[in-house]
Parts: sequence; C-alpha cells; structure tokens
Amino acid sequence: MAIEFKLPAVAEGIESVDIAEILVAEGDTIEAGAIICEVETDKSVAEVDCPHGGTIAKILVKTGQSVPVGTPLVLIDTATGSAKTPETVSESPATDSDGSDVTAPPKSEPAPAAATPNGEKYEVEFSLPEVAEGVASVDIAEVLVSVGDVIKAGAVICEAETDKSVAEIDCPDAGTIKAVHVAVGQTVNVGEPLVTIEITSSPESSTPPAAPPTTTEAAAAPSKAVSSALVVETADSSDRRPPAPAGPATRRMARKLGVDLYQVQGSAKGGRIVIEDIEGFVRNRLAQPAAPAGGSASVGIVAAAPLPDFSKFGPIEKQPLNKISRTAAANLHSAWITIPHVTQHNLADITELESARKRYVKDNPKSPKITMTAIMIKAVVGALRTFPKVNSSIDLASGELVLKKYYHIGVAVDTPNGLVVPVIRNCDQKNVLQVAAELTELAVKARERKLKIEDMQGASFTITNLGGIGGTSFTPIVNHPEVAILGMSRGQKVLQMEEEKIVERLMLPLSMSYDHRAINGADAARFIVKLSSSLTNFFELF
Amino acid sequence: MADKHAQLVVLGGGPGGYPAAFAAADHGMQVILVDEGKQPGGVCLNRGCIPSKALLHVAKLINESQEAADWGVTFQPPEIDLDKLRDFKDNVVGSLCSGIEGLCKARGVELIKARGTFTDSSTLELKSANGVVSTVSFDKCIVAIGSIPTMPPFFDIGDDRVMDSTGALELKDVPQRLLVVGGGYIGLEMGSVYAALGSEVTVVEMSPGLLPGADRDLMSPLRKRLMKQFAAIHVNTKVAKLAATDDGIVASLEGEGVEPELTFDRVLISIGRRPNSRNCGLEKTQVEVDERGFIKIDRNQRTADPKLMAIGDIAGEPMLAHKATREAKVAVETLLGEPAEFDNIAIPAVVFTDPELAWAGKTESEAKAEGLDYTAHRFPWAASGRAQSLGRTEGITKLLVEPTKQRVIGVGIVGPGAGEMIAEAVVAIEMGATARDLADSIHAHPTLSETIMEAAESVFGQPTHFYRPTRKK
Repeated sequence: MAIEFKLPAVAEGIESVDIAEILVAEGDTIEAGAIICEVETDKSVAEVDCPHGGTIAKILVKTGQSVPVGTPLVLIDTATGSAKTPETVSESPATDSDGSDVTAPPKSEPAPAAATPNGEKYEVEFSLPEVAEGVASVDIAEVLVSVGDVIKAGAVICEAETDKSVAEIDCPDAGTIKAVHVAVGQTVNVGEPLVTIEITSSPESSTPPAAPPTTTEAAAAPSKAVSSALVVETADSSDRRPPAPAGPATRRMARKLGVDLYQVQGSAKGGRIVIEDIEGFVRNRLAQPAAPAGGSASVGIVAAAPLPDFSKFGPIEKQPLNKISRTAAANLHSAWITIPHVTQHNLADITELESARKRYVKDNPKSPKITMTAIMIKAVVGALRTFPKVNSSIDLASGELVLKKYYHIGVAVDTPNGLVVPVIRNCDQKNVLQVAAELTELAVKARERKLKIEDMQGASFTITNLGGIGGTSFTPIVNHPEVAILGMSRGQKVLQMEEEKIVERLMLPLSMSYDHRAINGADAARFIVKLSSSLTNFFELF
Repeated sequence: MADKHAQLVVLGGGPGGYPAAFAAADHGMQVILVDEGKQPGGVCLNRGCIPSKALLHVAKLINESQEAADWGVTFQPPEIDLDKLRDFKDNVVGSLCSGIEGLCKARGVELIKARGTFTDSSTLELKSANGVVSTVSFDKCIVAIGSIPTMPPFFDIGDDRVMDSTGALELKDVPQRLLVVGGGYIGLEMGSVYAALGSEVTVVEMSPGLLPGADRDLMSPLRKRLMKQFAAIHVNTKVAKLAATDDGIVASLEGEGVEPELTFDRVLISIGRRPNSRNCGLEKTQVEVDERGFIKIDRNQRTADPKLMAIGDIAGEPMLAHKATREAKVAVETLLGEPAEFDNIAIPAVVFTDPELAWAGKTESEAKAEGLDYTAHRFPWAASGRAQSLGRTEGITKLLVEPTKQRVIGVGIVGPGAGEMIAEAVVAIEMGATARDLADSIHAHPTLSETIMEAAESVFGQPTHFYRPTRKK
C-alpha cells in the first residue's frame, strides 16, 4: 500500500521548516530509517528519516519550500518488493478501475481465467459468512476493498453492522478483487456474495503478485496528494485557511482589535483560542515598546520602506534568504529597535596571557586547542559572578530583572550558511580545557549544520570574536533576551611607557554592547575593566 | 424629490429582511420595510418553511397513528377534513405574519406593502397592490428580495395541475396520483405530506440519488423509509415532457426500468429555486450580479454599490432562512461600524422528512472532495435507549473529526428529531470544540442527544453502548 510520509515534529516549538535538500528520488527503493531530506529550522538543519521502507512513488515537496509539520513529504509504496518491473506495471489492467465499480453484476459461477506462466488463475466468490449466532443479515458499514486491489489471505473485506456491534469480515483467500457486489448501507444476508476474487495458484509463492496494487494505489494516491498539496498552497490566502479554533465571540473580539487569530496560541483544550488568549496576546504586544517617535502607531516591528526597482540602475541578481538569515534578520531588527544599546570599549593587556597560551598550545599538542575565545569564556564567567546584573534578562511586563544563577555562554560562529550561536552550558563548572574542547566540537557541528535546537538555546551572555578577521572595534547587537554581548577584535601591538622604558604590549580590543535598561553605564565600565584586568592578571582565572 | 426618505430601506420582508429592519430600528435607525406580500414574512412564513412544517407535523401524526398498531394501539384510519387542515396551516401562517406586523409597529419600523423597483442607487419606485405608485429615497438599502421556485418553460404548460411548491402548499385537493419532479428537500417534504394524506407519490430525480449533497450513508435510512411511503422513487430519470389530458398529466420519463409514460393527477415541480434578481431595477444600480443571478457580496454583505447591501437567497447559496437571518445581523452591524463579519463555519441544513436529516459543517463527501484529513465516527441509533423506546432505531449520528487535534469539523444526523439535535453540533463546530469536549459533557439520559456524546467517545475509545473492534493492521 502507499503511505504518505509526513513531516514529523523536528524539535519542540518548531512549527515549520524549509526543505534544504531532498535526498531521495522518485522510484528509489529505501529502507526503513532512510533519510528522506534535510530540513532547515530557525537555526539548525535536521535530517528527516522515514520509518517506512519501500519505493518512493512521489515526492510532494520542493527544495526551498516552507512546510508546516504534518505536511506530506513523499508517497511511499510499502508493498513493492524489489522484484517490481516496469512491464508488469504498464500491463496491469487494474488502472481502468478506480474502485467505484460496485454495481458490477455479480458473477455467480467461478470462471476460470487464462492460465499464466505464474500459475493458473481462477475466480471465486466470497460470501458473507455467519457473523454471530442468530444474525441472519447485516448492514454493510464500510467496504474496505475495491476492484483491482490485491488482498492477502485474512484481509478485511468489509465492516458489517449488526444491531449492537460491528464485525470485520475477513476473507481466507488471497488474490485480486475482480468485483465488489455490495455497497455501503446495503443489507446483506448470510451467504450472499460480497466480492469476486481472482486467485492465482502459484506453488512457489504464497504472496500475491505485487504489481497491480502498486499501479492502482500509486495512480490513485498522487491525485489525493495533489489535492492536499493544493490545500497547503492556498492556505496562505485568508479565506481558504481552515477556520482558527475560536468561538464566534472570540473571533469577533479578534476582529475588533485587529488580531490575526492564526498568530494566537490557544490555551483551551485542543488548542482552542479563548478570549483570555486574545487579551494575553494584545497585552504582550503592547508590552513591547512602540515604534520610534514619528513612526506609525502600529504595534510591533516597523516595516521597512518599500524598495525601488534596482534593475533600472544596473544589473542585479536576486538570492533568496534562507531560514537562518530570515530569522536572524527579524531577531536582529527587533533587538536593535527595542533595546537601548550602549557599547563600552576597552583594551585588555594580554601580552603575558597570549605568550602563556601559545606556549601551552605548543607544548601540549594533544590537548584541546586553547583559543582566546575559550579563555574569554572563563574570564567572562568570572566578571559575571562579580556583576550579576550583566547575567540577567529584563522583564518589562512584570517590571522585574531576572538574574540567572547559571552561566551559559553563547559563542557566535560564522558558517557558510549564516551566523549561528551555539551555547556552552555551565561554564562556571568547567575548566578552560573542557570549555576549549566543547567549543571546538560545537564549531565543527555548526559548520556541518549539525547543531540541534537545544545546542543553541539558553545562553545568558554571548561572545562574538572577529579577531581572526581583523578590525579595531565594532558594535555588536545584544542577543535578546540577554542584556549584554562582548565583541572581540584583533589584538594589536602598542608601545607603552613602563617605568621610563618603552615596552611593547599586546592589547586586545573589547567592545561590550549592553541593554541600558538593565545595566547602567558605570556598572558596564566596571564590568569591562574587571574583565580586562582578569586577562592581564590571569591567575584570577584559575 | 422622492415622496419619502429613510435612513435605511429594507427591501423584502422575509427571514432576512424583517430581522434586518428590526435590528436597525433597535439601534436607533429610521427604517422603512418594503414588502410586496399581503402580509410580511416572505417565502419562509407564507409559502415555505412554516406552512410545510405545519403539514409535516400532521403527516407525522398520521404515520405514527398507523405505526402504533405494532405497539398494540390501533386507531381507525384517519378522516381528513381538507378545509380544516388548510385552516390550521393558514392560521399558523397568519398568526406569525401578523406577529411580524405587530413587531414592526412596536419597533417603529414603517411597513410599506408594495413592490419596490430601483430607479437608481438611492431611490425605489413603490407600486402597491391597488396600483398606487410612489417613490422612496434612502441613505442605505438592504436588498433581501429572496428567490422563487425554478419552473422551466417546458414544464410550464399552463395547467394548474402542474404546481410549484407554492401551489402544493395550497392543498387544493389530495390527488390520487402525484408526481414529484426533483428529489431535493422540498420534493421529499411535500411528497411526504401528500403520501401521508393518501396520495400515491412517485418521485423522479435526475441525479443518481435523492438529496444530492447529503452523505449517502445518512441518506440510506431515509431512503428505506421513503420507499415504503412512496409508490415509486426513480433516480437517474428525467422528465422529458408533460402533457395535459383529461385523464391527467401525462409525463414522459427517460430512465432505466421506468415506464416511458405515466399519468398523474397532479405534478409538483421542485427542481430548485432561483434568485429574484430580475425585474427589480438592479441594473439601474452599481450592484453586480453573477451568472446565476445572485448579487455579489463581500463578507460584510456589501455589494459593489456603496449604498446597497444584500442578504439572504438573493446573496447566494445556501438559500436557507437561517443563513439570511444571520446575514441580516451582519449587514446591520456593518452599517453601525461594529466588527461583524459573516465568518460562520457551520450553516446547518435540515430536511424535515421522517426521519429528519440534518448536517452542519463539512459533509463527508465535501471533506473527501476537498482532500481534508478527517476521520468519520458513526454511532448507530440501534444502540440508543431513547431511539429504541421511540421504536425508531434506523438513525445514525456521524461525527467528522480532524485527526491531529480531534476538532469536530462536521456532524451529520439522520433520525427523528435530527433537526433539533443539530444545534449542538453547530455550537460545537463554531466553538472549535474537540471530540473530547463533546464526550466529556454530560448529555441527559435518555435522550437522542447522547448519540452525539457516544459518537465523540468513539473518536478516542469505545462508546459505552456500542463496540467496534479496532482494525487489524
């Protein structure tokens, strides 16, 4: 039979993904557990494997398409063995019936059919057996086979309703359904024919030939898949979306307030949206600061001005933004306009630290590579312990500062697919070697797009290091809901006066952007000074 | 200058028009209701829902008095006083219609009994039954001019033995042989009335089944019962010609296994209704009318003409009184600037045959055609104590459920009282209820409403009074 394999839940809270790559082709035979495609979520790529083995009858999605969880991805024919040949498919007569031919006149006599190389074919009638004691007739509740179906011995032909129960009628013979003599709702007496079955007597094989069902189901199933795909495509237009789960009064309130119900998470049983959900949604939106003065009064993110037609100025090329870029753009925009940013710069003297680091790396080639980022993580944790407000989030709705008693440090990693921020957890409980090892591992995972959602959640502070590229200073954007982010630029050698002598020192430019609502300027300066001095007098780190 | 002016004119006094006029007046608008009938109420009250229900009630009484013989209570065959029966029906209609006139007065709605024709987007010419012509201008007009039975010219042979539903409701006599052309709800309802009164009723339907649109599994118990009440039901059959003779109307039938010519004492043409968009001056306004004659509207009942709104049968399918009433409220609230919208998910449909057939939300055939992901859950009334006690176990309650959240998307019911029961389904669907909501709500015992609860139980388990083995994989 053909199975629609649907997009499973990729990670908690992920409702839709972009199809990054499709790894199977129509006609491929796959085993259970094979990877069907790679999908991109907000920040990671996941592989989607399919629990069903069989032949890919149809691929229902395209690379680049955004699909919600539950969307059919492929149609898999699970009945086909590898023995399927194109000839049997094209020869099969079953395609001319769609199974609706329930009015075909019953054949009362078994009629021998033409003999085939596989064995002799003959037709038998399967009649309604005795369903229960004293039951002379039943109503057909459901017919589960149609003309052309190949059934195994013991397959359920129909459901029959008696006064108080439903019985499944199974057929002891295997073969191809040639005629169905009953229809739903019909009253049938015990002994009356239900179906005519063509049986192939094939001594070496007890299983029926697999080709015919492939044809019928593959032929029937894509049309169904097409229609459901249509539903998905049109789901964007508001009129064709299935109604949001909310009662008339709730819908009316949403209309009044201009709330799009599809954006509201329902809290009642079964995800139903109640009036309180709309109130909560509006309260949340209003808690976000309004657009900058002079902007429109609309709640939320201000839309950018429309773009001119660039092609009239010169040649252009359009590249679609992937999901990572789109999400990053939205988050950065939101953080930039909602958080009052201040950036505090400083130069940290890392002359001794850097030579000690280089020495250690040289002498311990087998140990995890200690990078300046790894050291900085430990230094930051030390400074965060001293200035807990920097390790917090600001909750404007409740008017509270949420101080975190954990030290999860996010590290921005540049990958060919965009910027991702894996998180190293509980850095206060790890030594610098452990941090360095974990950092290397996460960076590799990031570049291979193997990071999971959990790998990127829960940071309480973020570090972004551009030192490997260059530059003297920059203004990082706070990674909401954190309140501070540390930028590192390239270390520079400077000449300094020290006890009347000119000395060369290696200075590391640090740029910390912070949310001025959570941290005042003096504390930020104290934080960066403390951080810098801990790098200079680095024994504090151990 | 027009003779009169109103803030709002409602054109048409049916179940769309009069609720619109009342709602607008209740909100302080100055309203004129224009209706061409002798008494307001439209088709629904005068020659539709209400009189047919009065007659169907009598039909049910007659049938039950006969069925009672099986329970040991035998009545004499009924004597039918047609004049008195007609009076009963006319009194029902009369009291409801005069009730509407009374409500107009109470609310300060001016009722003008005249036919209104648009002369432009802000004026109506009014012609009363006695030929007096006047004009009324308006700021806004709600067009609620309804529909009429379809009567193709080749059936319109100028003989009053060929009737439409209006003629059938007049109950001029009880014909010995009645042909009902069209197996839709009007044909089956009126056929049931005449069959109970003693006519031999033959139903001819062009499509493969009665009540196209209804799910076949729900249709099946009704069909079985109608087969007993009616002399014959011919589906896939066409009436090619009607000819008047002294012996009766001779119908030429085309269909498998049907006699090519049959003679009837009366013929009821009930093949559908069409919107009343002709001959009312709509072309003088900016209103847009589609190819079937319906006025095009948006979800707020606004037409392409900024001064005109449209509600009810004239504004599109389904042509049902209760849809018109809801649209009336939407139209008036829109005029008042309220956040109304015709966003209804479930418009119930009820066929008042015996058994009744009712559905709301998606039918199973719609769900299939739209490729929706759904599961169907049937509860047979044979397992309902209440149905057993009524001696009516043929009913079925069916729930269509969306599988991921188990939200109820459609309900179909066949059985006595289905028309009353469907209300619960409508609320459930509109509220976004899940099967669990219905199953966990206590339903009074012993009532037929329990079948909805039990059908819902079968979505995630086994209903108490029915056992369905889970399918082997």
